Amino acid sequence: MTACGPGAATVVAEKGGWARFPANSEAAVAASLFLDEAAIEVDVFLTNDRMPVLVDGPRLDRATCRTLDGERIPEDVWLIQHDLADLDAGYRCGVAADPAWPDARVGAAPVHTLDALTAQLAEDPPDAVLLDLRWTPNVSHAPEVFAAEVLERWWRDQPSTRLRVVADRAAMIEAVESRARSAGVEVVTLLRWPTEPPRGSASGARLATTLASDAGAADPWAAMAAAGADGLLVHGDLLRRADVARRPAGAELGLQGADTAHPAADWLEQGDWVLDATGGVD
Amino acid sequence: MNPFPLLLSTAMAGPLERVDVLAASPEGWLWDEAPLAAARPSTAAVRLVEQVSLGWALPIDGLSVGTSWRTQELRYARDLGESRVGWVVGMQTRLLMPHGLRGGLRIRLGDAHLEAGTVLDAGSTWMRPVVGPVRVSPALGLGIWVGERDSRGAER
Repeated sequence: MTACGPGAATVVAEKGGWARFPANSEAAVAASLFLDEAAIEVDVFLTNDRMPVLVDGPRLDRATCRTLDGERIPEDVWLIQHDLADLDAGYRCGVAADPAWPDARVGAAPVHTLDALTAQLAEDPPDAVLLDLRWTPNVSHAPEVFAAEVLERWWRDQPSTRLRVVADRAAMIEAVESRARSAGVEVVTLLRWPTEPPRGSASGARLATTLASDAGAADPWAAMAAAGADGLLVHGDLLRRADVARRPAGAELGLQGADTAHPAADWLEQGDWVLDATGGVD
Repeated sequence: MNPFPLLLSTAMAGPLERVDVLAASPEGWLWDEAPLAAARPSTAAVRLVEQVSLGWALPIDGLSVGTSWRTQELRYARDLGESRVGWVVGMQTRLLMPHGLRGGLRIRLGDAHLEAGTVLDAGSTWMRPVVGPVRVSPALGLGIWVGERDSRGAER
């Protein structure tokens, strides 16, 4: 397997490998498994009936999803308001090109689920899977419910695959750690820093964080400690060499929004993660 | 380290005497950010602006304050005899939390100010008020004198 990238960090196929196929789709994951990617990252959200689906936020992506008739989705489809059966019966995703990766192949498919993912991984699982729990206040089930639905399914179906749970809110991290403790299972959690909108203009949030952290008013490791996480997933636009130098002992570090060619990837060590939309395999 | 002297110095600061386009500070832009400029140009541009430091003269001979978005520094500089070469030491803070010490040599070339030295950075912030691990890195400064007098109070 292509286990290591620059700086010896493990390369992770971001959103299943969304430079090749639609984000979080069955096709993207299948391609990554075919290419023997070392690790895969997917986004997870809960439907109204508490089914974990691979969607990167509280709504279906209107840029890439369509109705069954092929029409644009007229208004936001909030997952908290829809059961999985409603989504299957009414929508297909990966239909239109994703503006982030316009050259990726498109193909209409139902929303991918965590259950289907674990079945997909059963035959030849990657070394590791990163589940990015996109819990969002006010439009999600409670973090405890979120953690229980995702983790119980994972432990039931993929007990041996190395798991990293990513979240960008302390409440979600705490719920995951609490669930793992009560189940007697060790889970490594990574805090995605900073908190950003799942899609669209995140550059403003990153600029604000850059200004705050450079002035000393924000600190990624302090945020990690406050959230009770075991590591950090930092955007490539933000990570400073000094942050890497000040990493607490044992903390894992991941780089997102970059790729294996990003110079900051060289700062990482074995046991760290680089999220790459191509998974590092072109 | 106590930030009180710096607070006092800032309150006593006099006229603007120098603009450091490249500040000799921890996490120097040239070392830490410039190599990544192609990969993240907007961040590199923001951080270039953030580190531009305004130097303010103080009534005490040789003492001055440098202020930028990233760093507030209390520094003391002296010339070596009558030459245009001198030395400088400084204590650096973030939001007045001391986190770095530096020392180096400086030279005045007309309106230009060049500086080279070493900086020790403990990385402390109010968010994470711990010392260490201490990072040692080179410090290179490039500035322009804009005041009528330099930090020694002498005519330039």
